[in-house]
Parts: sequence; structure tokens; C-alpha cells
Amino acid sequence: MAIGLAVLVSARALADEPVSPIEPVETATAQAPPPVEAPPPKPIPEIDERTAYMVGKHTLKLGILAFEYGIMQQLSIGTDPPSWALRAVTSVLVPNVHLKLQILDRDPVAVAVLAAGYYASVSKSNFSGNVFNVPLSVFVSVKVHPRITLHAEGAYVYSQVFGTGDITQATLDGATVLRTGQVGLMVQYRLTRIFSLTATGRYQFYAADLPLSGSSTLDPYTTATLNGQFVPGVQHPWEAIGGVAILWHYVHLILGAGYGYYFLPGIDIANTKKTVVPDASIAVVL
Amino acid sequence: MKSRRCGFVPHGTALLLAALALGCGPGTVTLPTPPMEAETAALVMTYQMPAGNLDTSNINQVLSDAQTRLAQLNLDWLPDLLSNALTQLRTRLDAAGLPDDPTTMPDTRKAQLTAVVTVTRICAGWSDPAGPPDQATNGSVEVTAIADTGKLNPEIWGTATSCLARFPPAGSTGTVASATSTVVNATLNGTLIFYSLGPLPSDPSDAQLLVVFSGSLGAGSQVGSASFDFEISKSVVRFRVPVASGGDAIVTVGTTLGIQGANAGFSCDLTTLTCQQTS
Repeated sequence: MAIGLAVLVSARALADEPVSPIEPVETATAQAPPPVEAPPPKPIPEIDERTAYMVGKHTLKLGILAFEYGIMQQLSIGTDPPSWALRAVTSVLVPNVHLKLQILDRDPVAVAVLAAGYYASVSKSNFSGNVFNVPLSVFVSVKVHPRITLHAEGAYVYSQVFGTGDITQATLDGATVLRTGQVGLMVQYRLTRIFSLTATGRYQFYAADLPLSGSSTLDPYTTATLNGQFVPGVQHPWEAIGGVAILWHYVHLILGAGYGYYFLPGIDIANTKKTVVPDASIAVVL
Repeated sequence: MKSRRCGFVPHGTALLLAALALGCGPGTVTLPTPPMEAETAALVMTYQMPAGNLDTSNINQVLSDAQTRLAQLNLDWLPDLLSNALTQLRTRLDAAGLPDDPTTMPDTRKAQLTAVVTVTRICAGWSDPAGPPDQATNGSVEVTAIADTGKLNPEIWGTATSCLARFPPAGSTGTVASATSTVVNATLNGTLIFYSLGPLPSDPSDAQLLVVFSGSLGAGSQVGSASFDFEISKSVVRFRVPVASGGDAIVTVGTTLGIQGANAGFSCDLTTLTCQQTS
């Protein structure tokens, strides 16, 4: 107010009276307040399961589908609890570990690779051996619209059976281990910062036969050899799932349901018959 | 805000290559084509529907031919030997989870095995000496079966290589067509084709198969070349005899010989060498 009055008085003096250049004039200086800086927008949480996005540096995620720890922003290590949990209902223990590496992150595209290893020791009446399952996945996430992100996946699942005895009995609770190629696509439509609708599809486009070879002695007079391969019963299993993703800061919740051949999460082995496919994941992010 | 960083990390590729390099193992098997597949299938049909016409004017000749063929078949030991080999084969197939019945259709929803199974049985020899089997001295019988996507091919084939066997084996009795209680020192050398007419036998007496043989066989020093086929169905043996006017008649071995043609059937007494029409 004082500053305004001073300016007004000075202006009138300039208009009504001749200006004496030497006459001292009372002045005052004014300074605008610094502009209030808007707070940075909260980061939009990303789905980091089966996408090219990462859990984050030094971030620990404890979920029902995966335990994940971010060693670096671009590198995380984890394990799948469901495979460990198989031990509770079967005689098979499946230790497993996976590494995820983000190799490109240039908006709007991110690319990551994931290599996992699953091991099972199979012991049956006439077979004792080991099964190794190595899924290798490439994830590409593309923000095609501020609210829409496409998450594409290409996966190659490699399996190998080692053992002695009747190798043809080396099945893992009915689901035969095979080498497969799979593609997946998730469409994520973000309604709010934390709430998204998702539509997910997965298709196994390639399934190689699993070669087997073995010999046995039936009695001192009789030996037998077997050479062959397992041929998958369902060559091209698929699944389609609709769901929601709610990504709070500390809790990530994904729920959905669909139909098709259920793919075991992580290990990527498809069920052999079509059923309702559940999709549920909850994780605490620390 | 997500960091905006760009860069390809070379060891990502290395991880991928390292994992792929784990891929070492046996290659996939291409199934062999069974020998004389079409001819064997046609032979099965011949046994089901013989084409030779029989009447009182030719039945005696057919009976005579049947007696000659019966002597070649060595039924006192050959069916036992072959049925035992197939029993061993079934044991192996069962252990592998493979079907043992060619008429069984696999569950197409499950992974199925395509495989070649070969069973080699060293013959025991005439004296069945103690100690490990001696293949060089006593020979062997090798049979091969194939399963295509979980379905057993009915044709099984094999080779007998200078197989020497004693029948009945020490401590056992013959189970199929044991026409004699005397000990037979048998020799078998040649090619064999089996066509399974039912499940592979878990017991030799359950065998249901057509046998096609070409080679040499005999008992003791009486070894000669022969080429014949016969059918075993639960210890009942049938064989084929050509009819002069064309086609074949099927002879069933029992206390009498049953001879079945396309138009008529006869029952022939081997003692009196007389035949009576039965159908």
C-alpha cells in the first residue's frame, strides 16, 4: 500500500509540476515474492511383473508370486514363492532364482530381459533325476498414450532332464517339461494414478519335442533301449485374462480372471486342459 | 520420475547365450517304417477272411499241405520263444509309460511319447550254463517296437541271430501249444515280424499276434530254411495253407485240425486223416 501511494504521488508530481532535475525525490523499491514452485508430480507407479519396468533400486518387494530385490535401478534378483510352495502339496521341491535386467529405458519405450532357473529333483519308483527349467524372457513396454501402455513379452522356456533309470517317468506332477516359445501381451489402461484396467493374453506358438534316450537291463538276459521324444499334448495353449491393477505406494494388487490353459507363473508351463484362469498377485513394496 | 537413461547392456546378451548353451542332449528320433507294413496288414485280413474255396474234392490236398506246414512251424517251442520275447517287450513298454495295446487311443490332451524301443534277449543256449549269458555262443533275439504319439504300432519286428534255446527251459513248462514233453534244442535264425492283435502279453499264454518268419529253424540237428506265418491267440495257433484253386485256407490247431475256407469249414482228424464239413 505504501509503495503504491508513493508511486501515485510521484506520478502526479510529474504531471502537474515542472520537473526540477536537481530536487531530491523520495523513492521506495519493491520486489515481487519468489514464485511458489509447484510440488513435483507423484511418480506414476508401474507394474513391474511381466513388464519391462523394474522394482527399483534397493527396493524389496514381497509378493505371493515373486520376491524381488532391486540391486540397482536396472537390475533385480528374485525368486518365485509358488514354486517353493509346491513342496507343501507334492514331494517336489523347486528351488528357483531369476535375474531381471533392464537394458533400455527411453520414454516411451523400456526393454528388459529376465532369465530364470528352476530346479527339481524327481524321484519316482524307477527314475531318479533332475529337471532344469530355464525360462528366458524379453519384455518391451511402450506407452502408446498417456493412459495406455502395452507390455509385450517373448519367452523361450528351455528344459532339460538328467537322470538315471526310466527317464520317461520324469514328469513333474503330470505336467511334462518341454521346450516352448511363448508370446504375451498386456494392455494396461490407467484410469487414475494408481488404478488400471488390464487385459492380458498369452500364446504358446512353439513347442519342441523333448528328446529322451535311455537303456535298461530287465534281467541278465535282456536289455532294452529307448530313443524317442515327448510330444506335447496341447501344441498351442493360450490364455486370456481381464483384470485390474491397483498400485499403491507400498502395496501392489493385481486381480483378474480369464479362460484358457493356465500358465504356471514364472515357470511358464501350461496346464493341459482349458479352465477358468485366475490371476491374483499382491505384493508389499518396501 | 523415472530416470531417462538409454543404453544396451552387453552382459544381458551374455546371459541369454549362456542359458541357450545349456541345450545339449539327444536329438529327436524319426520313427522307422516297419518292414513289409502293407503286406503284413493284408495278411491279417487273410486270417480274418480266408479267400480259398474248400470242398470235398480239394480238402484232402489242403489237409496234406497243412500237415507239411505244421511240421515246419515247430509249434512245440517257437510260440513259447516268441511269446516270451513279447512279454519282455511289454515289461519295457510298461516301465516307460508307453501303451502296450495298439488298439488303445492315447489321451491327446497329455504329452505323449514317440519312441523306438528295442529289446535284445540273449538266448539261454541248449545247456543254459551257469554264469553270465553268452551271446556269442548262444545267439540272441532282438525285437523293435515303435510308438507314435502315444499309440503303439501293431507291427513289431525283429531278428533272431543264431539263437539256441532249450524248450522247455529248465524249471518251467511250456505254455503255448506244448505238443511234446520232450526237451527240444532249438535253433532260430532269421527275420521276424509280429502283428499284435491285442495287448502285448503280460503272460506268454495271453499272446495274440500274427507271426511272419523267414530264415532257418529247427530242433537239434534238423535245421532247415523256412518261410511261413501263423497266428497265436491265447494259446490257440492258426496258420495259412494255400488252396490250389486260389486263395488261402486257415487251419486251427487243436485235437483236430479245423480248416476254414471262404465258403466252408472242415474238421480233420490227424489220426484217421479224414475230414468232415462243419459249416
